[in-house]
Amino acid sequence: MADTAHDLSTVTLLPVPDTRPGGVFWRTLRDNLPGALSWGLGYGVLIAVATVLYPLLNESNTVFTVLNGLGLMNFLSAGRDVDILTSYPGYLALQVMNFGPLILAVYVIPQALRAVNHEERQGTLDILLSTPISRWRFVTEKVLAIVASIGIILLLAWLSMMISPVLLIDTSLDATHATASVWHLLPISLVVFMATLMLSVAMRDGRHAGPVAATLLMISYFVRIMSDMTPNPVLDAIKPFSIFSYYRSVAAIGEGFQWSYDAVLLIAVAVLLGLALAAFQRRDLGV
Amino acid sequence: MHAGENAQPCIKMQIMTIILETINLTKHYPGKLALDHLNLAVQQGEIFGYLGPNGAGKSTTIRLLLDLIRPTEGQAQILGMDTRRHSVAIKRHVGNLPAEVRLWDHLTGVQVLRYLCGLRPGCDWDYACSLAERLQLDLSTLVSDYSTGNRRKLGLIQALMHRPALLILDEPTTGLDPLVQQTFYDLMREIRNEGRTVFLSSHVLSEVETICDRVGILREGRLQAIERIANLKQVHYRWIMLRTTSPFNAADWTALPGVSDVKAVTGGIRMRVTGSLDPLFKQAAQITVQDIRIDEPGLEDIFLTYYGDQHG
Repeated sequence: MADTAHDLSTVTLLPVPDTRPGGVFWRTLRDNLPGALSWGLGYGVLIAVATVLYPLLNESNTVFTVLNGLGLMNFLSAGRDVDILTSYPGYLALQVMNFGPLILAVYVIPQALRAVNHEERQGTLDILLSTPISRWRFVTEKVLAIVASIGIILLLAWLSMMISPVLLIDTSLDATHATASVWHLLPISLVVFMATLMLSVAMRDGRHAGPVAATLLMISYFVRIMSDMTPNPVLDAIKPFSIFSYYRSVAAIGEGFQWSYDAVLLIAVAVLLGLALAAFQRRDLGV
Repeated sequence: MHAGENAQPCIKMQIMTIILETINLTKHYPGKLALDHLNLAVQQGEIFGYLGPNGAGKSTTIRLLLDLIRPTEGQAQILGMDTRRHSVAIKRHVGNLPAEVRLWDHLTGVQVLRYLCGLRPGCDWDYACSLAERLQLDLSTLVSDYSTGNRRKLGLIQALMHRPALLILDEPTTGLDPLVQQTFYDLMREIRNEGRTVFLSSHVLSEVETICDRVGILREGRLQAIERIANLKQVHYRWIMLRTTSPFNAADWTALPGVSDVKAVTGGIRMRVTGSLDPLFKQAAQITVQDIRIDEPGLEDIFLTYYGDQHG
């Protein structure tokens, strides 16, 4: 056993620069890419199938009949011209975009759980946070990578929305309105993502964040539907708290961008991200 | 240290022999005191063994040092910086091997190292590859296909590849075969010879004996003692059990140097031996010995003996 008989007069530390940003972002994006592409293609195929079916349904007036029969016309039109809902853009908005947040939630909620909670449960977070990156930067890069993944899905959906009618039914959508309709999926999906992320880092057992977030999402959805279908003072009072009250994809396909509604959702995103960062910054990890 | 300082060839710091220091570091979990007012100082260029049974608080200490968990009370400093406020700056100079090496199963060894190298600006890729060669680790294999020992090797490489000033290793040799353990010990000695520092937690006395300069003993969250290994070795004893049918006189054995606590047991004789076994074997040659068993004492026994001897 050698004793410590070294010259301890100085400690020489080689200069170590800051970690270049983007390491966690690119790794996460690379890992998410196959999933995002699959989801984007799936959504694109859904749009294409809905497009193929449109002429058939329109000829038999099925869209109007079905919606009217279900009593959904008032809810869906929300004061707008009912005809627009039976047009191809309206039909597409109802068939594909209306349920978009629920469909995307199936992708977004697990991604939010994987971002931090999964790494923590797997034990890989210990290794990552032993490198010189701060907690907030780790979360931020993860979030940006998943936002980019959602962007890829929406981009493919948008491409399909632009190409499918031209190729399949010889018609076209107004590019701005189609873009607006797809765009409006992003803020609401980000709210779902951030809420799940915030719950997953704040809750004692982050695995419960997924079911809790999904439940809140469904409650939010039904509050919005029920309040439109059966006016009720209680539902009217809580309706502003439903994120679906600010989801305007259906309106956007006829009227273009609805920025004021997006602003509400994006503020919610910023608040939830701030809460998630604060919770993650303060807590013990891997306990 | 900031990016703007990159132009400097190196930074000579003030005299700073203490690399790691904890001051009343305490961690309470609900219903459990995991670490109780830990006061510890590790000097530059030493390999410090942090010993204790499972659940003693070793990993808690390491997680506090790495700012993965926050202290209830007290503080820790590494390289003169507070581990909470300057955690990122500290981690540029620290390598960490967790007790359980969990990595990304869908990546290969080389992908894991590339990923972590990208997060560690001082990473030396050639050095990482040379470490993989020395540890005989195939980096092209998926992490999911690695054995526990190979995962540990990969964990070790990622902890070493940026040549950190301080290495914090939690049970580093668990799962390593004896040959690789030897390579690990060689690596640790090289690191010490370069003036770098190793903080190594273990529950294996022989490992600590082999490479450490000093050892701190932790028990139920409390630091029981810090001692130089050389001092401890003076009281390093073994229990020897000789199976024999020959008659023997206990007094003959007690008279041997280093032999004490001689007891006749069923089928033989049992004694405590400190230091050389040579006198004992010479005495044993005079009787018929059918079997011999040597038991290493537990760490606590050694410490109790050591401090018993010290105090009286």
